[in-house]
Amino acid sequence: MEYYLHIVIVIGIYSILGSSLNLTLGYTGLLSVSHAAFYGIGAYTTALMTQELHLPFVVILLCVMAFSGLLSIIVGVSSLRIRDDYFVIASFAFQVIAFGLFYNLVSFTGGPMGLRGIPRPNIFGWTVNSHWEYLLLVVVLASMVLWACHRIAHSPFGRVLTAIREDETFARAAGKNVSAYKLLIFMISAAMASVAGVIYAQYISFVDPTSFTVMESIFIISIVIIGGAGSFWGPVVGAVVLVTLPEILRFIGMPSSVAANIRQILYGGLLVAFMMLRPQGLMGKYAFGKGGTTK
Amino acid sequence: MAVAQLIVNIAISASQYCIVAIGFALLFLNVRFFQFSYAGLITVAAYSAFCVSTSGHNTHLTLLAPILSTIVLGLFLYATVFRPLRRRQATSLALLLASLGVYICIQNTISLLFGSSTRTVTSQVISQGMPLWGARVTLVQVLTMLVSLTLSMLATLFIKRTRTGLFMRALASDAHLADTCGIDLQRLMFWAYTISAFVAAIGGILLALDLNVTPTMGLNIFMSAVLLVVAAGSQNIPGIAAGAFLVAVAQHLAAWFLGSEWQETVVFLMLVAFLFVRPSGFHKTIYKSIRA
Repeated sequence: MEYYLHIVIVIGIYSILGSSLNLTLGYTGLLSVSHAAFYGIGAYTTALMTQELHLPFVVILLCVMAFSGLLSIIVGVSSLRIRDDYFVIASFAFQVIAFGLFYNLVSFTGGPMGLRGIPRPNIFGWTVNSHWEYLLLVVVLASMVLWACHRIAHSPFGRVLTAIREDETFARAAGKNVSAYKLLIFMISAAMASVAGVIYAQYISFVDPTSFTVMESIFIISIVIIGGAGSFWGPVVGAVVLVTLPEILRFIGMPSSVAANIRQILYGGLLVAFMMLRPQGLMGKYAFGKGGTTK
Repeated sequence: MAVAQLIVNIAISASQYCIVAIGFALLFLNVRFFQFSYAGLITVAAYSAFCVSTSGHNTHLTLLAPILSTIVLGLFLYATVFRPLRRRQATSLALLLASLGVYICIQNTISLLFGSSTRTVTSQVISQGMPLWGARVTLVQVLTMLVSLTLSMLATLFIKRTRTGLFMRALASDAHLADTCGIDLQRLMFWAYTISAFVAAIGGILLALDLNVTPTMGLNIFMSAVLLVVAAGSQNIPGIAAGAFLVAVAQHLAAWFLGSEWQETVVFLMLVAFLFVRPSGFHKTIYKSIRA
């Protein structure tokens, strides 16, 4: 039973990551490869804050979101200066630099050994301990993130984001401050990603740099693309598919030594297949990278 | 002694970056997107060299088999993934994502077959060091430097002097106009993929013989190639060679002063700095599509 609960919790975490990336990738059309960095910043900040300061959960959550949002300005600003592929490369570089910091700033992050013994979250006196309680926490936080994404996407603000995706010059000509919109959505997206980091750190009670690599970023991108960029349920569907598929392989009797590689081959292959055959993803709203509109 | 060795090491790293970057520049000149599967080709070439060296066949085969297999893989990927995508008028972002997917598949297949740990290529004959002004150089390292010089010259001549090179420059400056003028784009793409796979194979083999092989080796050196092509421009081979030298200097100085764990981060910091300060690089051709 705990195994199934664990999978649902992981799906919840990836739904948060996917939905938050969907705000920039799906609605605004900005492909950023640095999402796992903000996920990691969330996890590491949580680890340090719980271990050193013993703050209550809600305070930590808010502080982490603010911190991650502030740091995302660096990536956001680069999206204003350079476009499309060049921005992908820049965000890729940010992701690798963040990983390098997680890995090499040993006195802060514990380096390759990571940080152990992160205490359980304490929410107004309620200590989250069992898998069931974690599930409840994840579902509540994921619903809040999804609700926020839904509100953003269907607000006037969200419509401007879609306008930027479809024709940036037009949005600018219509009098919209494109730079401010891009920066803001980046900050929101990064802050949401760090929420997933907060849950992850306290759930696993251990963080190490290998959870926040470039490959993790690409995994989150695959969730959005395969689920369907620019659609509300897309990232959730993508998370369900990409988290459960490798588990099914494990059921068939795949040895765990090759499971990690098979999992990556699976989502790499799916990414290629979807780009070629169904760029709008399973939920089909916006065909990512289909010629014409974006260039 | 130490300084002499440092200078020699810088020259070797610079040569390795230069070779890989030249292959990527020739590819980028035509395809105009960051093709991550190129990094996979380097890894495949290195591992094929590793296979051949452990199988103990003669040395002619050592060179030929990895080169051929890499070119075949490069063309296979072009035919099955990138040409169909291009036909569907996919944007460069879609192509980039697809190539990332391809790269992930290649890297993990290699991990599955050979394990993700570092493997050593054993070849006694070529890895013996010989003294050079107080430093030690192996035959492979001398070969790497010679190959990078030769390739730089050949690539410059190819781009500036041959008809195909001229067509490629035309394609790079305006793809639609080149198409209208009757340039055979299919043929150009075929040559671009063949030549770049060939250079990737050479780079991969030389890397495998000098260092060890790991499944992620291709991506690491690919990112420095990206930096060089962004900074110098894909038609500017001398610029790429000079840039390779600067990157190598920065890396070795970082290793010297900060510790070798920061070596890779330095390349990415340079890349970010470049994209921030001068997105169009130091080359004269400014592509409108770079700036937002």
